[in-house]
Amino acid sequence: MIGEIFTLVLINPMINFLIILNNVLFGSFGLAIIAFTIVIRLITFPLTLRQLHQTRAMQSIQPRVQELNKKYSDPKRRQEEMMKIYRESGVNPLGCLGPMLLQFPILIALYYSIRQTLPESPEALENLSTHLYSWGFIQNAVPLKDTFLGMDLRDTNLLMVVLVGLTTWAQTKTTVSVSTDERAKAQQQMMTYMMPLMFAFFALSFPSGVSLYWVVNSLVGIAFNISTYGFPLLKIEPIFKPKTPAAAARRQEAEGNAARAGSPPQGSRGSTAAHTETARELRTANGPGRSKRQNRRRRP
Amino acid sequence: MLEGVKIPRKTAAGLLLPAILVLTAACGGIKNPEGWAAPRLDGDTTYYFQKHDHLTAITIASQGPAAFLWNFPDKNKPGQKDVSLKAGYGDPVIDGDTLYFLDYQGKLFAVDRRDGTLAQTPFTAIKGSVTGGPALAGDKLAFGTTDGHLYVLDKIGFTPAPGWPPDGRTFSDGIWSPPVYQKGTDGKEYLYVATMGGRLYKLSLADGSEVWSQPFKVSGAIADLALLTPDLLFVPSLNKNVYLVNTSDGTARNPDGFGAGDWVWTTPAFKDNVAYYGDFSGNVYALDITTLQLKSTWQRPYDAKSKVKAAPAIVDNVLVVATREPQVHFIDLNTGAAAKNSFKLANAGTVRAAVVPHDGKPLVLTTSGKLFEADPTTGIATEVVVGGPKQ
Repeated sequence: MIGEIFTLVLINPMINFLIILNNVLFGSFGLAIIAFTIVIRLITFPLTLRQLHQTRAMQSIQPRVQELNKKYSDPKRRQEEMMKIYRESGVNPLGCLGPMLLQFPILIALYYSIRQTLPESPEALENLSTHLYSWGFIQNAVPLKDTFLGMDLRDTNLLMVVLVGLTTWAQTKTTVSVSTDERAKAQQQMMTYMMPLMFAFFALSFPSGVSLYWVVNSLVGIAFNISTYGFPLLKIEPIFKPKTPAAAARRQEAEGNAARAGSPPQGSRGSTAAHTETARELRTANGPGRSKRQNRRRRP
Repeated sequence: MLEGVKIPRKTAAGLLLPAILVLTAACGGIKNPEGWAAPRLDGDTTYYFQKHDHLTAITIASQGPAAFLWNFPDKNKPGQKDVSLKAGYGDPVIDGDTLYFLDYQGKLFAVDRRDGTLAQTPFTAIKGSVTGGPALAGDKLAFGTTDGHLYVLDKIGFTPAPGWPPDGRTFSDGIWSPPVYQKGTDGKEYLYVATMGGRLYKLSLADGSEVWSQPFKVSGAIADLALLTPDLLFVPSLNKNVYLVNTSDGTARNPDGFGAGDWVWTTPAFKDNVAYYGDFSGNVYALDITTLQLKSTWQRPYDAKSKVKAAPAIVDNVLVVATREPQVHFIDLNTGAAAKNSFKLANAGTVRAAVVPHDGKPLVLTTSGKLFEADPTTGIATEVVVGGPKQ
């Protein structure tokens, strides 16, 4: 049932769109894959952008998260405090996951559509008929030409395998690292090399049409990462600045007022160093992580 | 990334389950080449691809199990240790004691029918994959590749036939259907070659030159081809039409085509000026080549309710059609109605190979390598059980 819905809603439109692109782009299926990948990435760009911003927001609160980890040994209490930080910072911890999960079926459908549209076997071409809309423009186009820049898009191509590895590595390198924990950082560092190797290994069994999709997908991903996070090495500033959450705006305003009045901001919480210092002072004076008022409420 | 965030197990499972289902759905349906070569018969001896990686010879008995003869390749036979076979789409060809056939990877084999030994060194210098052929053209073998090369080789030695390039004659589109050979009334030999670009050519076998002033052209791919009569070709197309093309000049008797519900990718069974064939929408047609219409006694096409890829077979007045379901239908040739209830082939994969006439009980080969005898008198298909020392 899920498979049928998936086919009807995602795979069939994608396959037909791929064929239309192929016809428009001079009968080149390679160009169709490139255009298709870019179009799909642009359509899902709002989701990607949200995910990138959430990742950056997560990164910005990591110092406070680290502090909590050191401070509280009770996991339940630590969890409560952490959720509080998330709430106050306007960060949804599942915010990174949600868009990723939404993109997941799209990526699978893309992969499947490309494999279906490239007839790897006569059976695959025969099966393609069940996915096609009955427009002559589409029906008359099959089977599509499966060569692009001298390579057979149905076969594995070593150059594409290398490109898959390189672009995956570059995409991982341009992704912001969230954790400040040394161990987690080391793991992420390892993933920077493991991921490209893993995908290059997969690409050894992919038709090069799928690898082409993966390379273009990674290149677009790199462009998105750079436009969102910037690229300090080349002094590139981010184009898409994060939206300041309301709480953060209020906090910044309060901090500004406090600085002018020469006193710590009242009721302000945030991820800035000034706020961290203030919070630390409160914890020192009134017990771990609690204000005087919170203590009063708890112990009347 | 989500350090410190705990996702409840049920939520995690709830998120993972659809992902796995979607992944399973996406990965399903993509299979390695399986092949759809039809069995080739010589009396009761049958040669067929029991599995995608080997050809089997058996003798079907009227009573009891069929006798196993040999498998090809057989690692224990001389010269076959390193022979590999990957799915056959073109029907094997019998020529004397030799059986010629091609596999998808583009290897041409000549096997001694008596014992399954190699009769010649296989020909492997083929560019592209092969989904049709070979066609036996006198003392030559002709076949096309999905890369658009048409090879014509001498059947002995597999050397390029005189007048034909070693790498084959090149076409701009792939050749998926087997070429059709014809010895004309003028004594000359011809090949008809259809391409997936929707072109049909008549070539002189002597030198590969084009005979028609221009090829016959249609909007969709031509994936199969058959000669109905010496002067008429059956040209099915993926543009959902069937064309009847004159062999003399390459013009169509029905330029607009005879419409179908979906792709037509099969050859017909032909009797009394009527071509019987199915399409991918599950309709079975009876095209009268004299009127260019559906046979007058058929009120409408027969609805087989499942894709028809396999060519049907005729036994007396019954048309035997096997669908992808797989289901065997017995259709009255005169009325186009069911002569018997359809028969489901249980646990047998699907049917793509042509149904082959055999002693009143046509043979149906399924993708799981099972061979059935379809009896139109009883409406029952019985599996051919193979006995013998080795299967």
